[in-house]
Amino acid sequence: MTKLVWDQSGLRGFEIGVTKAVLYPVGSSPLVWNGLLSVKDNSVGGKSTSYFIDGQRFMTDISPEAFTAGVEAYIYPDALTQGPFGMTYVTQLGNDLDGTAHGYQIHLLYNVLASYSEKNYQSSGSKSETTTFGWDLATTPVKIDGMFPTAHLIIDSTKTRPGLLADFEAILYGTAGTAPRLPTPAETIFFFDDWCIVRITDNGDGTWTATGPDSIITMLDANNFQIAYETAIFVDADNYTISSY
Amino acid sequence: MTQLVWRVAGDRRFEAGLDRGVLYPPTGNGVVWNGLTSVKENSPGGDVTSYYMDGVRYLNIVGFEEFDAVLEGFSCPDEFLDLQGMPSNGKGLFFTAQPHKPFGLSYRTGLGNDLVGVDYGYKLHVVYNAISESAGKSYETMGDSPSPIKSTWNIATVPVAITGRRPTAHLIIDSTKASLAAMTAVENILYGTAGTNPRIPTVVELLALLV
Repeated sequence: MTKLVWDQSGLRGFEIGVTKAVLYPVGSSPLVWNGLLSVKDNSVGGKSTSYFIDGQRFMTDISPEAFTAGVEAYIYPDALTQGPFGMTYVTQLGNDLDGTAHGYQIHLLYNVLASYSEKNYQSSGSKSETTTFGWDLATTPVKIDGMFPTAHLIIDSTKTRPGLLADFEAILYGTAGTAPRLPTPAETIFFFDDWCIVRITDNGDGTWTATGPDSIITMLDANNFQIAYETAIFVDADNYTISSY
Repeated sequence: MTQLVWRVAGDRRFEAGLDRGVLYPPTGNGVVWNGLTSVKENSPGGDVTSYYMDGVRYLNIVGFEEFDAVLEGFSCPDEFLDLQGMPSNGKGLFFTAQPHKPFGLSYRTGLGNDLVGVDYGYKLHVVYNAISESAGKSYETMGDSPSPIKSTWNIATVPVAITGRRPTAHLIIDSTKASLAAMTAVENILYGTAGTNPRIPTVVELLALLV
């Protein structure tokens, strides 16, 4: 049983900052967006409409949402004006123990179009001030099996297994041997669902195969093996369910 | 006979503060809402409409009231993300723009007076059938003095039927007017105990405890 306790250490969370923006133009190479100052999520929809009967609120409906945002930056990639693109940016998560280094969220945007909202050139005075540019981003939601369409996915580093996150970031940001790219929503979902360290394959003939690192799967002798990982859930003292993890 | 006297010691009362926010998802236990900094009640309705005849006010009618509010905070419980249309696949990937779900809410506001200050008492607010609109957020690059982002959530409610009263989605229990035993019983349900999980009581349950 649980008795509620407020403001426990480590649970006083907050969000802060925006960083690591990347633009993924359709048909050309991804570009780092240096100089991004802010992203203001002002999505359209998601508002309530109330219906009344006999003078009383009978039900409240929430309208479908589409992600739109205002962004501000010192500089911007030319590709911003050249048609639809994908985009990622990172916002930070903090708490009372770790400060601003508790974790982060990676925001994935799809089917984005940008339009100028503000260009603020001024003659230099006694103090030169940096020009900032404002943009409005609009998105077209992408169909996702079993979900409502959306153009905005979020990955939370504090809830993602470190190995999975590192592998996904290697796709987003590239490695020494691979170019960065933005996986589609379907690819992203499959990647998250399929990623595992130990893979259990049902051979369909009453046997199964475990595949994983030698440090986890070891042969104890010619006929016995050991899997030292969280793959089995015991049903009772003699039976268990084993799955990829 | 009673002669009116103003500003008697102990009668100079005020309200202050907000704490002990709890979210009650439609299934499962209540969960602590850490980081809830304000609840602004801005219920629609309750306005007076005046009707005139021969240039003289003939009738005033007060519109029906609903309970809506704006919540503000540094963070929200993980369970609230799903309720405001952002479910997860359980592995760290969140989907935005999904259907919103109803929930319950409770929070405590402080009562003070001139004798004991802000420890005079408190009000327990219990909110039923709430649904949250989507919350906009404004992320900014960190400067030399970083400050946390505050999120706001607009909520709307559908009232619950109460025998002998007009339906309402917002009940308030005043600790200075309810018995200690009744307050304890209500709080044991709302906040849980060593032997029971926290949950939102039905209106009928609350009324029975506060007879």
